[in-house]
Amino acid sequence: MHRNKGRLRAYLDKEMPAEEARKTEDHLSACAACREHLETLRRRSETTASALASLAEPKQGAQTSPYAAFARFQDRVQDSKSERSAQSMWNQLTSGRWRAAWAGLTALVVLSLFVFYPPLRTAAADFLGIFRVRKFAAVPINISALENPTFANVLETAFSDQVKVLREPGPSLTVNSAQEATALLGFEARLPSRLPDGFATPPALNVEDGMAFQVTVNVEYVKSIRDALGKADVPIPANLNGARVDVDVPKILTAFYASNQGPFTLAQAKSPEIQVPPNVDLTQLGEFGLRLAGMPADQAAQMAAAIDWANTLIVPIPMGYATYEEVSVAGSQGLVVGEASGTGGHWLLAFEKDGIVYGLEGPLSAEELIAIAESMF
Amino acid sequence: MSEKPEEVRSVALTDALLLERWREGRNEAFEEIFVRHYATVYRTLLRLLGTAGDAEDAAQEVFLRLYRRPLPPGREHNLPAWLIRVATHLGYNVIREQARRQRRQDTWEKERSAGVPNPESEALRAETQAGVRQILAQLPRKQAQILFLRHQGYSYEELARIMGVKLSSVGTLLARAERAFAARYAEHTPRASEARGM
Repeated sequence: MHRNKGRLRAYLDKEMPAEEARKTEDHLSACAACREHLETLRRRSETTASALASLAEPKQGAQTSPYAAFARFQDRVQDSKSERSAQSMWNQLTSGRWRAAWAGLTALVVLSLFVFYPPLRTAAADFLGIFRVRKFAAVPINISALENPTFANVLETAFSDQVKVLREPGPSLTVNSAQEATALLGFEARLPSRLPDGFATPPALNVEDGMAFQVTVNVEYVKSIRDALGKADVPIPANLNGARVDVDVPKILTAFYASNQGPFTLAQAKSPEIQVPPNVDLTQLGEFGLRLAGMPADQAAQMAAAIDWANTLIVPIPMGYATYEEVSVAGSQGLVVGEASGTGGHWLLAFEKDGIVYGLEGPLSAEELIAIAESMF
Repeated sequence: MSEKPEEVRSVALTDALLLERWREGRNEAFEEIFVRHYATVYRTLLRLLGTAGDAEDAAQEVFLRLYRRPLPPGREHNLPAWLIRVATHLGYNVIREQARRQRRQDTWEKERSAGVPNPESEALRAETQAGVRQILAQLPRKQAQILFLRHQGYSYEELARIMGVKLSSVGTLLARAERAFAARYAEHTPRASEARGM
């Protein structure tokens, strides 16, 4: 019986038990076809070996100290930790208890860039009159600046001092159907009629209670935040000191569909409302926020002028960690955001339709999220 | 701090025990693993990649992977095999990336001037090496890995362990990889192949 090429190749390398080698030899002496085959294998093997022999160790760099290498390794671990903390901040913004907030676009994410960290119980003046989400704008931000621990501390103090809760949220309620949710929310709850395979239905439905709070701006804090970010040269907008900003976050319905790849979550809520004193210039304030987030002056001015601050939700996109695209969904303009480095399987979609803000997030492509969203209407 | 003299580390803990301690959060166990295996990983990558800088970068990345995600408990791990697998995996990514850049540069240089052959032997050797790496980069990952590792002198049994394949399929994998390599090599250096009677 002929020998297959794998066995012949092993025979060439004398990588077979003695008994098998002997039998192979017997066969080869009697079989011209296998001898020829063996010869081909040998030639290829020699060609390959002589080519690969050129990959010899270069003279330079052959010596290395593992201890010195370990010292460099430790530096590298330190670096990668700060990289990862930026990543985990991003994860925090898009997952867990903030997911609903993010997806439903509660006020804290909504608000100006300089207050979006540490996440979300914070808010500040940014919008004239009553802000309602109508549109989305993605703003790339340089997240490394926000990792600065001084900045985090200053922000923490600034906001614990200045936020007054006007209406405490009640407990979140589990509901059994969209109808039940509709009664609590005051608008028609919508669920997708189509989902990709693998997601468990019916979903777990929860209504998170809303809340309201007021932030009084103390310009000294704003300055210290600015300075902690290393942007002392950016001018503070006029009329900011003492400005009172009211934020009203409505109830949010979340629908949670489990799958092996991880859950898909759908959130929906009325737009949060934010009131800012009329004498605060929103464009100026927006520009200030954009500059604190690391945007060059001319670019910030241009972007601030282009944004309709009273109706546009600013979605901070950490540079290098996330990627985004404007899309059209169910006749509205929306935004999809995904992790830049990921395997591409995790996206978030946000859009507004008829006064309701929708957020979808899960281990799905942007196209799949859009298809799900469109099946809700 | 000075380097530890060899004799102080007289009790050689097994890799398994070190991994166990590292999982328990004992950093010195990781250092021990690193120091024990670094040279092997580094030199493998040095041969594959050709420059100390690239080799060190990739070697550090190998250990970073282990550091971030320690091998799970409850299974018998062959740490050297794991390290070499990850090293050649990452090394392959590097040569692929280099080959991509090289192709761009080649196009650019062709546009600039007709290539003048460089007769110096050092340059010729560097060119051969680059050519071999480019061919490896064109092969599927497993084929490139097995060719490179076999040439490093690993036995079939070691190759099976590193690549996570059955011992009985090493010969087949190798034969297939050599066939693919030799075909591309012949295209790459037609005259050299003719001289060898291919």
